[in-house]
Amino acid sequence: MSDVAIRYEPVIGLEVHVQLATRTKMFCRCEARFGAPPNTLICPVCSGQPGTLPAFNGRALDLGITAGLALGCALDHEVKFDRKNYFYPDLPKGYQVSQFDRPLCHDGSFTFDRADGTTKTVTIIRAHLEEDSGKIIHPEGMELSLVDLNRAGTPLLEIVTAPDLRSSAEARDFLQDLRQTLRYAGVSDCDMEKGSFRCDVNLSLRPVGQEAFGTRTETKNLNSFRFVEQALEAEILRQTAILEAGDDIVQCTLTFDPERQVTRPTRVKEELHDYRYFPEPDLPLFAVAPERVEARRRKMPEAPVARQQRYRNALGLKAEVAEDLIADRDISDTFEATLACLVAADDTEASPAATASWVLNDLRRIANERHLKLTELAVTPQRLGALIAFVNAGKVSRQAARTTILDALQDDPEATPASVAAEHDLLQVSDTASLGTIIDEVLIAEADMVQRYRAGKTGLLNALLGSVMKASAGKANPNEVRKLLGEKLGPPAA
Amino acid sequence: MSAADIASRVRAGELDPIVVTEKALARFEERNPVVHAYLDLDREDALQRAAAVSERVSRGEDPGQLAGVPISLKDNIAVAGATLTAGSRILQGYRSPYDAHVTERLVAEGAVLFGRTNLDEFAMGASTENSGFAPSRNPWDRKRVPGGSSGGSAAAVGAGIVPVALGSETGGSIRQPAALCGVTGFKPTYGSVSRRGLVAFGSSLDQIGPLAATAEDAALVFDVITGHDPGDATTTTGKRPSAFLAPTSVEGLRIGIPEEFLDPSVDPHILAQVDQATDLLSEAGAITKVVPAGGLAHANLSIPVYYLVSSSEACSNLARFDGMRYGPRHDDGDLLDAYLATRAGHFGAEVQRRILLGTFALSAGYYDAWYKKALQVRRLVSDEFTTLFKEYDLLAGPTSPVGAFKLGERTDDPYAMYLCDLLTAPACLGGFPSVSVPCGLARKGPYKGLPVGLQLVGRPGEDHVVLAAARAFEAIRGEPERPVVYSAAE
Repeated sequence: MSDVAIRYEPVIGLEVHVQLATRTKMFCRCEARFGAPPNTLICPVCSGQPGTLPAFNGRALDLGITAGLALGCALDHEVKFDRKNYFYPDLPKGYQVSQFDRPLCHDGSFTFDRADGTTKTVTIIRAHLEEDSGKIIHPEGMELSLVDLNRAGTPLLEIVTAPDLRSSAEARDFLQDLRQTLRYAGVSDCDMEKGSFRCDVNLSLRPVGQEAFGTRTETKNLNSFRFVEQALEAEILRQTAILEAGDDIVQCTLTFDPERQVTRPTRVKEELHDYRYFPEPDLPLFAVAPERVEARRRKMPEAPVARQQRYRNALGLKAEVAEDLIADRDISDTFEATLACLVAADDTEASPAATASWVLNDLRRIANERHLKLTELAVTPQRLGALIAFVNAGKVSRQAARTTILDALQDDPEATPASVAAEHDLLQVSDTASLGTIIDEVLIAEADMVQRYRAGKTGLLNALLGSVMKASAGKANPNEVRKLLGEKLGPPAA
Repeated sequence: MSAADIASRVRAGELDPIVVTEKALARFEERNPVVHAYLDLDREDALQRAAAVSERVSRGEDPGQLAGVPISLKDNIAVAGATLTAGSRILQGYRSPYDAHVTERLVAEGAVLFGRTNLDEFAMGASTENSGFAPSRNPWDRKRVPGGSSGGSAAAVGAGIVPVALGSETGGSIRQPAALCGVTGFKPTYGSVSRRGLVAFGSSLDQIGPLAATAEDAALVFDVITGHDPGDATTTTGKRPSAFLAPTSVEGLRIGIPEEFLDPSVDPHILAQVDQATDLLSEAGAITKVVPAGGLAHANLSIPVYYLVSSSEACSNLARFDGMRYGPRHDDGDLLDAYLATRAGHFGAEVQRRILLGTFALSAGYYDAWYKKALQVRRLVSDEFTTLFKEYDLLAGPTSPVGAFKLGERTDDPYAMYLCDLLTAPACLGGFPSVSVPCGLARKGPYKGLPVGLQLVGRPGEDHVVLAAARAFEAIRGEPERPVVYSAAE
């Protein structure tokens, strides 16, 4: 940390645009999907043809309510929309349907984990519904711009925080937890690469100890956590330099250049934006029934923080393991489903820690190797549960299960642990009679070692175990062998 | 022949819709050069639509309530594949990719869509002189205006080319031209007819309605186009009594004539005709009474309020006409240059005036003083009507303070043109249903021999009451006089 940061304290507030996970757009029935060929997901409504009117998608409201609940917000009892007027080629109607004076959600708070293990609570000033604009594409080497309206009319939730954050790292930690919470709640996929989670940062500096805020700037459209952190660092440097030169910060909008690691004021003419907000006459007030809010509340999935606590307290998992599990809702859900299968099958050997290891290590390995999502694997929680139970029953070694059998299950959706084990001759020998014969042969062949063991060299037990395993071509159940060896060798000399 | 007659005879298999359309085409050829009512008419399309209805009849299907009736649509109502200029050069060459809700309804009931009628650009005006193309003429006197903005529809019906046309109204654009052309014009309750497919002007005021030779035909068409539309969130749900349900008698009907409607600025000979009309109503058993001044104390503010609200909404509604996705575009210079050149180059003077007014009224720092204040006064005007509706079933008065004026007479003075809406704007501000029915010709004065309209305003949702009263008045009044151009051939 430079000595500069000691003299000035950054004051940071965030505006986050989250694309709501609806199937269709906010005011028409066009699909809200990323990645389709340009202008293939459009209709008269979202392309702003004359005479078209908006028809509000209730699913966007439901997701907005869920987000509001997850952020501890108060909810308005009506949805009021306003028009935000400005001209831009990606805005088909010349106005954006948004919410001005009555956001759906307001006065909430969100607690997140800081890197040092402490928590912090940020005030959520408001979260409002609005429609997204289209996209402008500047084809390389061409003196023109193209407009793709596929995204136009996609529902967004704009979340605005109070200026409660004090460092770029804090901003990043907040955003990571916010993103995780919204994903768990099913509000949005929050996929930053697809632009469904975008961030504007407001930053001002003030001398440490001073209460009043300095003049703030806004850096827009940051689409990765790294860029958020870097842009804030860059802007802190830029503002610090200005202040140290004795100049004043000018309120402005900036963009971040990740290549040069600098923030730059946008070239838009510095004129006061007057959006001429007024109530959207095409959308009368839409009642938010208390029953609707309650229904959403009942459907709220467990928050990641609560889930992590449950993993540690009720399941006895280590903190790191619990954190690894909840980092991704797919992982966490797979873990829970697998554990549920084992419990349902009354597997007394089933342990949460072992199940977590299966999911975090083995299942994730397969997913990575095959470039599939966890949820796309042929190894479903049910089949993974069956495999774990198979191991717990001593039928195969864990080693064989996690490699050969797991891969075979993924390759063949019809295969079972038993069929694969039989096919690859992996079944363990556990019956006492067969094992006794092998052990007896080994004890005779290794009489020398047996003698030394009995004389007190107890460490040789493992060597004897190894010999038995080798003699069985690896198929002996090591636990059984250890037990039988102990019995046959008798207690070593004191 | 009336729309009702055509439909019943087509349904009975006595009349071929193709013949009906051919006759309308003949009248169009003969009379449109006189009145310039149409911006576009696709003859082949009209005949094909008639043939389709004809086929429905021959297949034994019910061709619908408007079977074979040629209906002309104002060129701000969308028909898939047809022009949709809204009277503006900025939409020259544009064809709508979809049907308006009312278009779907008309076609479903067997109507034959018949041409695109002229209007003041984006429905802003009271004479069609603001049309981006050419003004229409009054069928009673081609040196005079047909009124506006639905002047093309009024002239088409007034000249007898079609029995019915659709218009749209924001501050008087159906009733005023209806009055000036001697036809019936009905503006429904706000929310009773879907606006989906109507090029927006003042969204909180806009409403589509019929202009017809008879009140019965207006009622017939209204019955078809009214109804909830999930695609227009401002349409009301719930039952709508048929326009033919209420008794066509005015007996016992309490009709108030607000003193404010008898404004000194209203031409005295128009007042005389309206006076005679209310006497007729009274003779037929209606309880008519002049409501003393003060009942509509704020009605005199309707004009400024109407222009503030409609222009504010218009400046936003017209923002989409930027040349980016459709319409002509100027590409010189940077983005701002392109916007300025496209919009300044293709919007007419009146449209630009209203965009400026609306932009000003919504600006930061002025919003409270202008737009917000206008909404408050709008509420006051509306409340005064609501209070009167406790005592009266209908309010009556003249539709327009003036008759059909001469072309060019008011074009130099926008405010004089705005005053045409003096008596119609209040019903729009409150969203009340209102009809203008012909009540004879002015006997003297500047509008001597020209039609006068009687205006009736009803409670919101009581469209059927207003239309029934109009039909009752029509029966009392008898067959109205027709302009010369009308009787040329039938």
